[in-house]
Amino acid sequence: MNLPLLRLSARRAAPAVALVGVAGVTLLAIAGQPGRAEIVEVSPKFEEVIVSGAELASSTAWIAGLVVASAFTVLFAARIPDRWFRQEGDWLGTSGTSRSSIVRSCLAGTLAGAATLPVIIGLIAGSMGQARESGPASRGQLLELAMLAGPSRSFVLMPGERFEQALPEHDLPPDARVRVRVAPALGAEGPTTKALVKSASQSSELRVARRAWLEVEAPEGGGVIAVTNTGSGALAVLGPAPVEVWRPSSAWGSGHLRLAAHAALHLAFLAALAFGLGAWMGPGIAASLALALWLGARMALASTGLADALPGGAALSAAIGAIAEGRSPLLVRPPLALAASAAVLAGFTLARTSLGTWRRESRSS
Amino acid sequence: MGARSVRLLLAGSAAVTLALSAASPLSAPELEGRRRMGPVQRLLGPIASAAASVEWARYVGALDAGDVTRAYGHAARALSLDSRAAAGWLTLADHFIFIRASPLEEADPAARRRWIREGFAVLRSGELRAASPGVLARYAATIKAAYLSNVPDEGLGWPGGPRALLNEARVDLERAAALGAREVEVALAYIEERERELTDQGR
Repeated sequence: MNLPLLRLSARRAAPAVALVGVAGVTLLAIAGQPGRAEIVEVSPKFEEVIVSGAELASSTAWIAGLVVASAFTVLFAARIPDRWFRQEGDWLGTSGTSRSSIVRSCLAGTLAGAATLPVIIGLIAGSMGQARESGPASRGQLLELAMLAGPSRSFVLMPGERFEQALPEHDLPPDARVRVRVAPALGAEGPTTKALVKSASQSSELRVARRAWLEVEAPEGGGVIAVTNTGSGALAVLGPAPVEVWRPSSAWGSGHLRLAAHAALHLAFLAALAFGLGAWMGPGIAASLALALWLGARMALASTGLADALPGGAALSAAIGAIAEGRSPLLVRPPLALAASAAVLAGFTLARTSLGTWRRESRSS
Repeated sequence: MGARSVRLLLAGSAAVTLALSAASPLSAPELEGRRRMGPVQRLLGPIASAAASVEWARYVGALDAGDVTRAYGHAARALSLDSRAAAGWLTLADHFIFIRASPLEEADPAARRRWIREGFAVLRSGELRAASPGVLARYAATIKAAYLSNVPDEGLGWPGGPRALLNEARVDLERAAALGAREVEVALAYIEERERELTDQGR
């Protein structure tokens, strides 16, 4: 690995304009959230909206920051190999560094540069979100998803019918929560209904007029969660896996660090593709193609079991959604890291192959 | 002029432009709504409206997902980004009055009245900020006169009944006319007709 080349590529992948641009947009997104006075002016009743304002601000900042970071990342990553063919080959090719080392160092630098962007977003979104939370809007314990359960398809409960889901007998801490996804459905007397959700330690009844979560404390050490349709309308329990168990989380930075890891993998995926394609075509086209490939993959995989394995796919959306709810995202799973590694390998192979005919007369390897 | 000087000049111009954009506008009676705009809205200028559209799309998405708290957060954000557009205030007020106050969602008349008042509070807030406040005042009057005054008493139980609603609608219409709304006379004629109907019915 050629360290000076790595540092140079890192600076080129995340130049000052990208750092300032991402920081500026993230700040603007989080600073533009309406405050208590404005929300009260919109609607005097909604203390809940005020309470959730910090989480919403954080998720908006993440989305805005990542959109800009993605654009900067593909553009600057695709420009790095383009420079080889413009003027830098004159000194790189005769420097005594092997072509593989050049590609390796530049790619590593590009990934390092791209990784600084989610760190900046996380620092801003996390610190400002927490600063807001320290006010009267502070919430309870941070939760993370522990388990999904239930049938793979939606089904309807008619008035009086009951659905039970047994939770496995494993360690559920005292503060764990369980929730069931429901919605009103056609087929019975009324257009809306009521639902009673019951665990061993708590029960709760809710009028269901739209999609909603029925949430109660999870039974300690496992047990049964029961949902009963107590109204006059039909109640749909929305699958797949309508039952979610959430346990207390010890994630650092209210989960922003985990989200930063998801975002870093997404940007690494894009950077590696743009870098590899940039060795074969102009930087503008390479950047656009990298984004198009990612978007195409995301759309193609959306309804398959692999949707969670694409960096920047369903897992990133779920992680941002968790932050918006004031909960912690899950840790990065191996398939996601594997997909990002595959993209890095593809980027390396593409770039390395493009140098096959490059200045053979002066190369040293 | 060297490249460094050009960059400094550009950076300086950008900083001055941003500072001027974020500053409060000059005082003038017709700029009352603009004075209530937040610094981010002034800073974003025309982009603020596009950003508000994104927030309205997220509002709809959150409502579809059943997360009303998050939906109202998005709505508040959209309204703070583009407070001049009357359509945003109308959208949120409609949601409170026609969806949340629907008998399908709230069986209790008192709860329904609370949501309806919430909707009218939104419209009043909009009157202080929107570019066409008269439209919002006229809309409040229309809902009271043409919709709520026709809802059976046992379903809503509005204090004072339909007559009180028609009186409130008349006050709203007078305010709408003062704020520059058009076609107020048609609505006033409708209110008078409704009052005659109520008299005929002995209510």
